[in-house]
Amino acid sequence: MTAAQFYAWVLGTPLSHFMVGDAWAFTISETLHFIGLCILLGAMLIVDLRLLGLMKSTPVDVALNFLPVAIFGFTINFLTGITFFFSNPEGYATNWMFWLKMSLIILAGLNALYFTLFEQPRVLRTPEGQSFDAQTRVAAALSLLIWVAVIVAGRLLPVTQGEAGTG
Amino acid sequence: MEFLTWLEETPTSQWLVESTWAYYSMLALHAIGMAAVVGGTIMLCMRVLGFASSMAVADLERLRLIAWGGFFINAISGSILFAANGVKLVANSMFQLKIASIILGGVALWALWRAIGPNKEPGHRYNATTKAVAWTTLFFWILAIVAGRYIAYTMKL
Repeated sequence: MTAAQFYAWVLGTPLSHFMVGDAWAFTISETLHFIGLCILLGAMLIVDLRLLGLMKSTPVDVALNFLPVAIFGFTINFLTGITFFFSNPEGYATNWMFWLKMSLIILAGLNALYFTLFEQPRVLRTPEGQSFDAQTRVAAALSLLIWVAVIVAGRLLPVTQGEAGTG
Repeated sequence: MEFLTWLEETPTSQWLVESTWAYYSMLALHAIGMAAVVGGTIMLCMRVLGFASSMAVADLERLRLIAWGGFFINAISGSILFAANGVKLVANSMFQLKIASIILGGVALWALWRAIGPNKEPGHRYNATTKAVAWTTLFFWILAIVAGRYIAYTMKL
């Protein structure tokens, strides 16, 4: 499948027709994307700041309860993100900022995976009141940094949009 | 109005209108500030409404500091964005709704911290009044985002 065939396929889907044809679809999707972003970042602030050693009146496993909240925010943004892409596949696929944003999201995902597999078990075994080791804190700081970078790349998408139109 | 026209003619405003990088970088800052203010506020409201009740609201005061930082970023980036396009913005009903929502959201948030009072320990359950204030706070901040988003569609730079 060539890129052109892929764009044609996307543009032929009912979702794409809806996103292009409905006057409000894109705006509503975008609004939800902004709300999802706030939920994701708000929840990550609690998790990461706790891991960085702040918020010590709260047991760490309680702070980790906010991870599903972050995943909820991410899910909203993943789904609305797909609707954006379907409204203008070529516009996004030919925009380097879009690929930068996607790479940053994958990086954030790998960081979260690393944390879940290797850090979380140790974090939960750490006696209350004791600080977490440097690796955990680096992962937490990276997480916040990468998510903020994702927001910046997302907001800068229109700047590097090529001739395939705005989206 | 004369003042707003003058604002639009300042070098900063001209730079913002002419450079898409400058304009969208300002919007990027504005989005980070929004995430800090509204993200932190949503988490506080969720806790007051009963989510993760073993979380100490005292700890969420850290987010209060971050939210103020976000508010400061957005007051500045918002003013710069406004200056570039003030004449159209003051007359835009979505802009007016957004500013009203932010003011009411700020008052509601202040009322929420008052209603919480000294009860910031883990496990505290909040009464119906405090929960109602939390819902009100959520409502206005979400409305601020919705209205803000619609500004882009009711006027183009």
